[in-house]
Amino acid sequence: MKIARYGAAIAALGAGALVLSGCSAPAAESGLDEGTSVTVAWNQAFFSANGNTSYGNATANNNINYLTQAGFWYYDNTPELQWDESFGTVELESEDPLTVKYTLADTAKWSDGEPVDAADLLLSWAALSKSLDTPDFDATAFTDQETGEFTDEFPTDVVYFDSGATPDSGLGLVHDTPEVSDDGKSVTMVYSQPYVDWQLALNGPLPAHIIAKHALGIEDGDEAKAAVIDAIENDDAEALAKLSADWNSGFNYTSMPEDEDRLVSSGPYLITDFAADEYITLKANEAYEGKFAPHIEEVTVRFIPDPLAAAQALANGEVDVIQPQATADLVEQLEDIEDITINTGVGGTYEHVDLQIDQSKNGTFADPLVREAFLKVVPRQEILDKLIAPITGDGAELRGSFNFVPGAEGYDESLETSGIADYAEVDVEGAKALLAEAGVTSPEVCLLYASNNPRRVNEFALIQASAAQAGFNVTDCGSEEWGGLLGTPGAYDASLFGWQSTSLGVSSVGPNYETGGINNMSFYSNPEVDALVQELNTSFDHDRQIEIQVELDKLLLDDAFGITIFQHPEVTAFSNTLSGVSSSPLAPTVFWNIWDWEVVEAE
Amino acid sequence: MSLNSSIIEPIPGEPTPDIDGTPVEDRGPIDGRDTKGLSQGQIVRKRFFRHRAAVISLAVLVFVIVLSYSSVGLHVGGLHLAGWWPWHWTTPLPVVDRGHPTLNLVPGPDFGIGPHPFGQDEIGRDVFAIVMRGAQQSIMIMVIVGIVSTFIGIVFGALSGYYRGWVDSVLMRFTDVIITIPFLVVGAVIGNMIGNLGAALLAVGLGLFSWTSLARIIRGEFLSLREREFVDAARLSGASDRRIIFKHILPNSIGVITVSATLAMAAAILGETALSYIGFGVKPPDTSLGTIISENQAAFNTRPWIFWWPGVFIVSIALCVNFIGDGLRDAFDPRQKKMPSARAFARAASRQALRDHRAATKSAKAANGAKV
Amino acid sequence: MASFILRRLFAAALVLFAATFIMYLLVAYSGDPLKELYESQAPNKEALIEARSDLLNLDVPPILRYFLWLGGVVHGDFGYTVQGLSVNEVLANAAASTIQLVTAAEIIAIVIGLIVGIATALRQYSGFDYSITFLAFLFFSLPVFWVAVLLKQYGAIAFNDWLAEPTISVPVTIGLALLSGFLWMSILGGPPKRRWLTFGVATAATAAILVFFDLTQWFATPSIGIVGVAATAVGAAFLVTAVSTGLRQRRTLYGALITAGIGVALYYPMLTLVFPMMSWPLLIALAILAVVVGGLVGWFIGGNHRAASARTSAITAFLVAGVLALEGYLVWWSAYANASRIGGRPIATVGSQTPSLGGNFWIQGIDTFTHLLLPTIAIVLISIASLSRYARASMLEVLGQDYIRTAKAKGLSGRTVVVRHGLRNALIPVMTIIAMDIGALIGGAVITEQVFGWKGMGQLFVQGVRSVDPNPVMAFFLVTGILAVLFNLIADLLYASLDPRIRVS
Repeated sequence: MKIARYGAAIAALGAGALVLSGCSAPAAESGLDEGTSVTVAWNQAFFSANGNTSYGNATANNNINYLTQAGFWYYDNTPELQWDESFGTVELESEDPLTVKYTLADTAKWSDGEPVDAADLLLSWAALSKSLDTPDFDATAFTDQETGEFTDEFPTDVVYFDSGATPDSGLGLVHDTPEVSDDGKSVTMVYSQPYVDWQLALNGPLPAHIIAKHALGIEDGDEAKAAVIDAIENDDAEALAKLSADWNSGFNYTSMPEDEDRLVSSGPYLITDFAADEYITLKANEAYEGKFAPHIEEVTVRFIPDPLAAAQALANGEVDVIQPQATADLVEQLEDIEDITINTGVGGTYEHVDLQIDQSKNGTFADPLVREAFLKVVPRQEILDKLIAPITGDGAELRGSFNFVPGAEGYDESLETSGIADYAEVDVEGAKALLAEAGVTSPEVCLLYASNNPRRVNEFALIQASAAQAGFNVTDCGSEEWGGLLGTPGAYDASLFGWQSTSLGVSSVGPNYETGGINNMSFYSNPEVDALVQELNTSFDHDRQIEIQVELDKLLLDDAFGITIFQHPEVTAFSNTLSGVSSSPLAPTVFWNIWDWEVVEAE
Repeated sequence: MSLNSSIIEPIPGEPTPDIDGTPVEDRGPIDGRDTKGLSQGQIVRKRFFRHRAAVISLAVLVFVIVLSYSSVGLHVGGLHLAGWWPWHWTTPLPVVDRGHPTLNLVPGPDFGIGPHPFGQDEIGRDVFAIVMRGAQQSIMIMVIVGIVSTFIGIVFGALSGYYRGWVDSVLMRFTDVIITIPFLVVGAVIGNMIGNLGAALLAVGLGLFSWTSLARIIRGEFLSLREREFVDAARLSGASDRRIIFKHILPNSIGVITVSATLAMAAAILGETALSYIGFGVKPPDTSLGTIISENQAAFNTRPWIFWWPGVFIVSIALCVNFIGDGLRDAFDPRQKKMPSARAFARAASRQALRDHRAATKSAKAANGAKV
Repeated sequence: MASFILRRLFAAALVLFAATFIMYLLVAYSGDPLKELYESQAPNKEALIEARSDLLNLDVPPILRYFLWLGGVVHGDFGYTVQGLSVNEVLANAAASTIQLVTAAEIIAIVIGLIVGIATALRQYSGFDYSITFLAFLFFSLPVFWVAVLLKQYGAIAFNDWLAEPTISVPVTIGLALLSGFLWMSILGGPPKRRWLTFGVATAATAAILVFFDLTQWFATPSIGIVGVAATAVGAAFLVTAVSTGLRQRRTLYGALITAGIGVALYYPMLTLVFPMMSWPLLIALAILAVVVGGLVGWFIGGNHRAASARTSAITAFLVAGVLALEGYLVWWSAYANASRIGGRPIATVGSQTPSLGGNFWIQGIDTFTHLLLPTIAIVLISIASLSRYARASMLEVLGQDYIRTAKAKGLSGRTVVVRHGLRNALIPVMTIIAMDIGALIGGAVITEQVFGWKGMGQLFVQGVRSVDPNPVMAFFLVTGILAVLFNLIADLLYASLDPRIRVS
């Protein structure tokens, strides 16, 4: 039969193929990438390589930029200010007028081979001081109403750097164009008035030659740099306008930019891959000659917002390092994962209760006696024991100072002076006595807090139950829009939230407590405090700075301004295949020493 | 492939009495039941109670409702009735044994429910009280969504099905518009808008957008019923539109309405849960089962009782409502009749065969007799 | 036909227009997009607030703002997010992964849902039917994120732990074997004697396979092997023939068998020569080639039933090609699983790809699979539940109809009655359900993306609602709305092609 013959032929063909191929499993290139690598989970996606714009200033960006933009200084995990001389040096030449000289090292280089030099610093100054901005220019007036775009109808002769700088702090105080040295390696800045945090005013710059290339169309690096210096020194509005536009938006990208120029790096790593909203990958920068040469060839940061998902990804080996929002459950879950190390420490944020001294909802706290009574029944120890101790373990500590991080220089002194230790445990009788003295019965306290934050909801429940014992009627003013309500007259009586420290500078202290300060939400006013703040802002003596802050702590507590509760805990967990990971309380937290990390085989 | 069971499927019957009065030869179902004269309500009730899963579900649901409302009391608006459970769901208590549940069903010295049968949460609140409060809220949301969506669905479906024409076009195009918006999408927006104003308002908001399939089904039902002879008869005898809609057509579509309403309710409880998970449902300090789970999802490995108990209640409520809906559908729909067991079939078939045989022999005898 | 489609599209556009209007107003009135700026402590807060309100036209009342938005959309511009990102760009990044997820889930849910629904309908009121009904209701009642979190813990982490040492213990083997035996027994049914036989055979076969897997450490280095491919190919040939024409059509069967034979003969040449340089165009070309060759073989051998035979062989060829492709993936599995960036833990819990993995076509495919697996299961489980219920009800309804009776009375075989008369008509109402189901599926995808850290449109939507940002929310809604309209249109067309009573004109 015909069919049978076909069948036989096919079978023969099959058998032949079998013999020919020799029955061996096929082997060919898998094309897999097998270099050393580490994956870090972070809760937000990267979106701008310029962390100095009001738009790009976010932790998620600054972590990555820290790896690609070398700078003069950084914070270690103590935290203490450290200098990177392999990038350059910062010298205080004179206190009056305040003169600071920045000198770049020869090892400071961009990954495309160009040196980091005065042109880069000068452009940073122009951006961070806004001294060359067109005066009284209202950027929003020129926004295209149809699309909202910034550039289309933007006047070409208007200089506008979106750095959010103000003329009374930081580089904003340097009004005159800095002087560039002859070798083009150093820049000298003269402040118009004393500024205590001058050390922090400038860090790593963006590549001026890349900005000039895009803004002015100059391909050659040296020519581009010369053009930038020219434009700034001669205040060439037309060129500066283009430069500022590129500085503002040229480095914003949410996936791999079309132009590789935008990835030029002066730091130990270089961005090589960026999948929108999923991850960003950096490889070691081969052109980097500074002192932080990394051990690990490739760093990937995956964007995982959910802490539980991050913990599961760590358990599943998909990420190696996580630093999720810490909760007791999360820590306990992490403890069940094998072959990882968990470090718990304190972060840069502290929780506190502020009392509305004026303009409050019920006027409860106008009387200092009532304020003191309320502080006596805030269950600080209970909050710590129930909400924080399960995370940080037995070493959990109350934060006892408005101005000092626990363990920092001056903290112990402040504790002794202010006598905050008396407020640790709830003192119902003391509070009742004070209320009786003030002649108030069952005062009403509407407490504002973030109702979408489970921990704050729990804190509210604890405070409410505890204060009720002394006769306080604590009502719920919780809201998701708590941030917008802060400082709103008549909206609430007390607030529960956290302040985050982002630097060790002292110029951020004043605005919280001085009369009319932008962060003084409780309408607090004390001439003594105002005088101390004024002195602090102009005092270069480190010891005196600490003394003033200790005094401030005491005054604030004596006035029953409010009370601090705890330092936010921070949990870092990492796979045991890594060594050298240790987080810092200040940004960039776990990334601060990424060049010290090493991959060690667990087996 | 064998098709035995479907071959002996009963022929779909007619739900309404015969109009023209000609007696229809109906031997009834093969098992010989359902032949007595019963009102529709009685038939439905009887059929429903024969659906075992639905009856069990109804019992469980009633138990859950009674338990949740009696235990932590009724708190609606200014009205506060204390329940028999000692703890309030907002009272922080000292945390005992990391908040482990004290419920112990293993016979022995620790047998019993203990002070905190479902355990305690992070700051020592009693999880049983929280879950009961959450169940109250979730049930309330379910019922309100059910009522609101059924009401709107009936109005839209009845008007467009009864009046047809441009009324129908306008209402159904509007229904199409609303149906294009996925429940979760509109729910998230509404939740974000009014979620912090309380569970009841959220439920009303959700109800305003979940009536669409109900309206379509009721419209279909009205379209077919309005052509029926009994409606014509009513119209001829001078009944008003209102009377025809409320007295004649609506009672006849009660089955479809009930079934759709239960399914909408089951969907509502799950919808609220999903919304709470992405943060747009009931907001703290108020609570619902979904909110409890989403707030404590990190605890599912470490303190599983906070995660599992609300989950168990969600699943049981949704499961019960779904099964009740299934039972109601079977009860109202004569075609979806619960089949008797194979043995009952065999017995009935043999009885029938016997009857047929007797009838045959009788008529044969009669025939013979005539001949003789 | 064309005018029907045009009319439908026009109606859909009007519906979308009204729906977007309602959505826009809802989002716009749901809060204040400037609220996070009020919380800001930036010194230039006022300027930022002004810039944002200009960017989003917040000075225009929402009703008019909608038309500004609509004008932009008509020109292909979706506007900006509150962060000032272009929504077009964000959407392009997000849409791909969501559409991938939703489509994969929808297709799997339809296939499994229909099979389960029809199987339960054919075995109405059996133990199988009751178990499936209960499971369907249970899945239907489970919150999807709950399933997703559990899947991560047990489907990924625990499974990966087990993969490190893939041994199957004796009790597990016995349990799985009995379960499989019971399942096959209830599905195939028949008189008691045949039921017990089915049970025995299925149990023994499952146990044998599990023991084989255990002894050869199959899960560490999985492969089908030429023997497995051959067995599957022959099985496919018989099965396809049985369903499409019946085994009595000898010529058709031979055609299918020869097609299977060609596939098996190509096993080694494909694996060694073709597969290493595989790419998507090549894969699609090969698939088409397989169907064409299969069709030709069937055509020449088919004799009097050329068309039926060609169809049968073509389907067989496609299935055999699929098995070969599967073997291609399995060959690269261990290379993938042991890569340094995977570290022996292949099933992923986060994201849609492994960062900077590298790898060839097969490795990339496996990577997509390991990331798609769990989210898809989570959505599919819930969709299957409702789909199988509808399919069951619809099939029961159809099987009770007079024409089925007539067909049976004519003496047609059970296969012909079910496949040709029952299935076709039962599919009609299910089509509409599938189209309506897409909305629920998208809702499920929003939640699932959240749990599995997929950066799809669900994320875009949730973040948009949270920050009261109408533009990304509307972009999400427009894409899903168009998807729903599209599925509805397809359903209508299928409806028309399945149901001879409906004419599209």
